[in-house]
Amino acid sequence: MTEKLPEKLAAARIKLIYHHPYLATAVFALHPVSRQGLGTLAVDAWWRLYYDEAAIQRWSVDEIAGVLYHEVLHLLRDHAGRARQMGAHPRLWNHAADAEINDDILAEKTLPLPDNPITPASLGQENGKLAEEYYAALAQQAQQQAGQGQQDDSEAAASSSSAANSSASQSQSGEQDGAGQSGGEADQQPAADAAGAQGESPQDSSAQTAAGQNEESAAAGTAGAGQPAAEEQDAGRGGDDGSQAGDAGESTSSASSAQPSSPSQPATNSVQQGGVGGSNGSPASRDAAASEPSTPDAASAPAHSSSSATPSQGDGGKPDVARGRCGSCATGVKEDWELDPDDKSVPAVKKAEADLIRRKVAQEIREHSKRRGTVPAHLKRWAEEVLRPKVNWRRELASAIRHALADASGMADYSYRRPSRRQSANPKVIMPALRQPLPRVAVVVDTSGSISDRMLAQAVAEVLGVVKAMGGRNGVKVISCDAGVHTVKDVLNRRHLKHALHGGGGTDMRVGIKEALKQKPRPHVVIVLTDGYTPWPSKPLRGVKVIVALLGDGVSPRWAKTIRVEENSA
Amino acid sequence: MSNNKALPVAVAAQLTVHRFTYLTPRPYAPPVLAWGEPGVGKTAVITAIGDALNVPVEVVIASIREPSDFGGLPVVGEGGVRLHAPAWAQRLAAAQQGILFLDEISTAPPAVQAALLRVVLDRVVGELELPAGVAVVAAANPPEIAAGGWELSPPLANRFVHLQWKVDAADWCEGMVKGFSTPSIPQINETAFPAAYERARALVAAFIRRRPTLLCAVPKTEEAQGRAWPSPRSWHAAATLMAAAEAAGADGEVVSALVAGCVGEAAALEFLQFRRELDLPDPQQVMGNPDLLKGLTGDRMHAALTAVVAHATAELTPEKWAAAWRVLAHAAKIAGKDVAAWCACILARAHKPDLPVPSEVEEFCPLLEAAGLLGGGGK
Repeated sequence: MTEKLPEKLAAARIKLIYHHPYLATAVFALHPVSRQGLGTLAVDAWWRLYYDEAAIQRWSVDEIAGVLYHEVLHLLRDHAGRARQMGAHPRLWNHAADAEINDDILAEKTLPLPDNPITPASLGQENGKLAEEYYAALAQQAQQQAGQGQQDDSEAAASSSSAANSSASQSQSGEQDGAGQSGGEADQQPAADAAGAQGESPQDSSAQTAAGQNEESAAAGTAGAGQPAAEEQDAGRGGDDGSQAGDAGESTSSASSAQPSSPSQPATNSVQQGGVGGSNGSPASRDAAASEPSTPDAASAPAHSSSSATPSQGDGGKPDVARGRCGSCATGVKEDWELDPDDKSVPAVKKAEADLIRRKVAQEIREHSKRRGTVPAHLKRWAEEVLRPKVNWRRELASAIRHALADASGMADYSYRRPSRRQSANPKVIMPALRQPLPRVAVVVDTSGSISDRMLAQAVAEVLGVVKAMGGRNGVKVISCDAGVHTVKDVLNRRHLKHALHGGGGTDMRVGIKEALKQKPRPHVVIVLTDGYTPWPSKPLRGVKVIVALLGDGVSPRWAKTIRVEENSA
Repeated sequence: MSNNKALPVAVAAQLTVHRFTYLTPRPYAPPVLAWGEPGVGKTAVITAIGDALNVPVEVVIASIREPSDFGGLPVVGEGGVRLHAPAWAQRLAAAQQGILFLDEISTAPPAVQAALLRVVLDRVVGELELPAGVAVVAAANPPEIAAGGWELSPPLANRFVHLQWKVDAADWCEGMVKGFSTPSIPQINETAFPAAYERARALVAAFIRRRPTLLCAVPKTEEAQGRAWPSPRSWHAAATLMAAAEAAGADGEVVSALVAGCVGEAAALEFLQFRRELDLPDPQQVMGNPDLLKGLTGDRMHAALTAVVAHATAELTPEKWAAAWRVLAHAAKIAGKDVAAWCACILARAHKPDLPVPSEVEEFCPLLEAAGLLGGGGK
């Protein structure tokens, strides 16, 4: 399969490896598949690299190498798996994932990316966050817009939400409307139907920021609803005439040109076109783009001719690499033009093998950075995460509490101390009864000021959740303590927490622990939340389990179960 | 999904390998523990597997049972207290084979879990011994989901093969519309098993020889202790299940799920990587016969060629120099030119003045020039 690889693509692979030798395993694990008419280059979740020779001729070797780098990072960072785990909306997620990757690539300044790639800035976000964070922001924007639209026009809202979930339905609605209309109205109507939900969206601040930052990516902001802001405005006033639509198109043109999903790209252009007076581009291009991967040219043609603002990449074709359509390598959802994962003609890299490749690359990064130390920081971080996965402190803390409570005398367990209520049914069989004392937990919180309140609240909330799940209906006792004990409060839910934490000043957890043991009834478990810069009791405590959650670099006594809690860790 | 494919293999292995009493060490197919959220259809699939294999299935929900349901009901009789086995155990004993499905064991109170230990490990219920042909499958909800759930104790956890139960939204939607397909049940080829088992044992032993610390590594956290981790017993189980999967013709996904289910993800990854590297042709042989490279995928071709180049440059002689170039030229023909070209770059860097410039270099020049690397890395 590989022998017919176009020379430019082969050269780009070498170029990429020249810059990042440790990626060789991943780059050569890609199985190239030629796809005439695809219009670009894309990768599926099974490491198959689809390319269109025509598209490759358009880009320079360096640009192709940059695009390959981008796609390999999708695979290495397992964006497909992460999307599936979140149940993320594919289009929106793809934008978020692209932003996560592109800021790193662009910061390196070694390989360029063609055609205005998506960056965090273009989504109105800061650099250096995770795709999950970008996604949350994008989803929120989309929701706000959808919410506004609902007030406007509930019917349209319904269509929009369904459109958001599948571009197919969107294209359908476009078709129908297009068919039903004629002339100047035709091009606005499909947009109107689909986009109605967002009615006033140009006024929406989030949409505007996004648009202001970069026209290409503003689309992402609206992608969740699957609709461009501009279209919606038409929609809100569905029956209005062309000139108004034109205005809308102009005022929000930046946002609309950023359409994330293929059906909308041509449609966007047509909205603008509507303003200028053209009419028939939209339904046709929408149609073509939405349904036939093999004819992106057909779709792009009207878009090109109609809009002066067409971005350089202009093809309304399906994939759009590094700009929100990278193939299923980013989303985990199979695209129409991709091969079936079980298709035998081109080997697929399944999850087990992908894990091995990832590990191998991570090891090579580690070795490389030991020898020469010229690995970009983001790759180094990634490699360390692969080779030494972080422990989830929430789980660890929860499990420590559960164990401590289970060990506390006689947790929900069978006992022959009292006869079972079923005993009378059959006097010959001896049955135990179920006894469950309520777990009593005291939390000593270090409020000396070195730990943020947010972090403390989070940790206490975590404790509370576990205790509740174990049947502790009385909540936990929270003891605020710095150099002395400030307050002792029963905390039943998160809201109580606000008033339970007091302090600032020196640190001595010994008084806090002492206070905890004085409580009546005595707690089964004492959990100490501290940064560790405190004196500790010199001897193990009798008759109570102690768990220390360390929120800093300090030390904890050997006799206490210790869990390191890291800020910002998920 | 892959894990859902691994489950039938693990069940079939339990039903089959106990027959190979003549093999030493005896194959050990561990009981299965399926981790998954409530409501993902574990019971349905187990029942389907039982139907397909034509063996009876007994579903016992551990969390609503009492210790005596597993340890035997103490009944006062003539000669003292006897531990009476419940009906489900007696049915299985009568059938001589079948699947015992213990649901929700992680939400069962510790006393019930303790009683279960004997059922799962020794297949003894009360005073009744279950026949060897009974496969034991347990299901558990992750403790963070189950109200009042516990992690399994380390010794109990180490005796299971842990399989994650995942639901794939796309698969589910398809099943919802078109009807759920019954899981395909693998047939373990009983004539192929002994040889596969021997290979698997040798492989595991070779790996442990290289990484002795992984023979027994009890995790530090309680949460990890309640999952799969490497121990001599779990490596033995891994070898058995690997052989069973091979004899059943299962794919790499299934093998990796089974091995990870026995010894834990970290150890399994290292082991599978080791296995993958062992599969590569020996560089010295490749230099004699470049045809050995045939059929390798891109990344493995790259690994093999890197090994050849490393082998040649470690102790560079004119013969090795020429042979390495021949290998690269051959690789360029049968696989991607770029793979070979990159290795050619590395090989060329080792060039010494007294070595001739090989004719094969010509082949890579245009490509390296297109990549803009000629003059830098190339010859």
